[in-house]
Amino acid sequence: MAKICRFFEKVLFAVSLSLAIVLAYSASSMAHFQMILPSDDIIEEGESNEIDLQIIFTHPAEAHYTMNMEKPLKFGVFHKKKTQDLTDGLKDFEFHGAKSWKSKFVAKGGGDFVFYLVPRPYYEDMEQTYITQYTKLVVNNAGFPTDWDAELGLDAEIVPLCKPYGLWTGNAFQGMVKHKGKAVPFAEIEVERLNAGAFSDLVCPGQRYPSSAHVTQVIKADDNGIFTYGIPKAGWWGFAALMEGEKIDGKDHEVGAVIWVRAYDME
Amino acid sequence: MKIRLKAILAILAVFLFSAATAYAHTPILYVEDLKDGTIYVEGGFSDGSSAAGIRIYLVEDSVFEGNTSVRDEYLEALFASEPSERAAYLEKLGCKIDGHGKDFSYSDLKPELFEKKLIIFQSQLDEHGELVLRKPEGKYLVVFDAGPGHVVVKQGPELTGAEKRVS
Repeated sequence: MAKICRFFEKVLFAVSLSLAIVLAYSASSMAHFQMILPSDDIIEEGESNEIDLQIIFTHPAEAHYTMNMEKPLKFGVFHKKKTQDLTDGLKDFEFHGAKSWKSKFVAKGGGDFVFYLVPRPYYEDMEQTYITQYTKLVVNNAGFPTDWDAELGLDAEIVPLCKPYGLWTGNAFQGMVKHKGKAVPFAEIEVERLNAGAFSDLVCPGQRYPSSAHVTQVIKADDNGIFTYGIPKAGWWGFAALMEGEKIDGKDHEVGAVIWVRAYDME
Repeated sequence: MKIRLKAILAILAVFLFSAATAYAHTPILYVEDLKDGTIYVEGGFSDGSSAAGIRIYLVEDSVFEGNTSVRDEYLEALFASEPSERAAYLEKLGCKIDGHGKDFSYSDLKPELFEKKLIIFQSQLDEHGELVLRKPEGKYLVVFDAGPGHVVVKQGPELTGAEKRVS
């Protein structure tokens, strides 16, 4: 009898180990998203024009496993056709156990402030692939639409075709995927909603998903590189167009063009 | 007769349509306290079109009852060392008083009102839709006047004691 018990124990252990490996692998292969998150996306009259920005590389929908980030190669802002380099002002901090970066910025004057990030390539050991996600975020001050549709000339870039702020829940968000300045026909775009409640341990509950297929939405651009997505819920939404980049040290290199937008419920 | 009527209706439709498109945007005014006795004013429209040349007023925030001292002191301080600019300003206002004259007094200027309130100073946004203005004394409003239905009014940040001492 003892021998049978020991046999079952061994079988259980082996099954658990296999499950753990499968789960760990599937988790790591889920969508990585480079984030730039501001403390305010639309600065209104009477609000402070000083905003905090967090730069985090994580899995926003599942709200787990955040990756360490080396200091970004470039972080800046584009405003009224002028670029300001903010890289030197970046400070590191720990977010859910991973090295992340933050910055403060004073939005002087009205208009759009297009923040952009060029991170260092991240090596994903499980996939033996480097990942570089060029990321954009637009913050507006006082309602002047000035630069939101600007193409910054990033290696990979989503150029929004509708204003990427002041969006209602249910709006369709549209953008064009570009790689080295050219539109990418039929580009694949992953879409995730930031599961802020689950991340920050706030009182509000995190998002629950009816199936694993609901976590990351996958859409494709048309033959002109233009994609459209109907935003079903208020919150921050990330769009990551993934493309093949030039190899690094003989390893595959996935290049991403990311943009973050926030939708609001109409009350 | 019918052809003429159709032509009139067509012209009317074109006119109405163009009027609708021209007004299908919201005027925006941004006022920032530069905390040095001046304010930064920026104007624009929700469709991104330019506000260059749009009129901006500084208005005393109380119903006008005949006292123009805030306006007079503001203009006095503004043009104290620039009499030629004063003359140009008065000319722009369409004022017939000689701005170069020795007996000139700001109190001789006819008071101009915005919604029954005294206009202290008026100017226009530059080619970038921007302007930096000296703050007047007391409570005041900043007005962006792009025509009927396109007026934005904001409370101006007040001149502080420290700013007065510096200026």
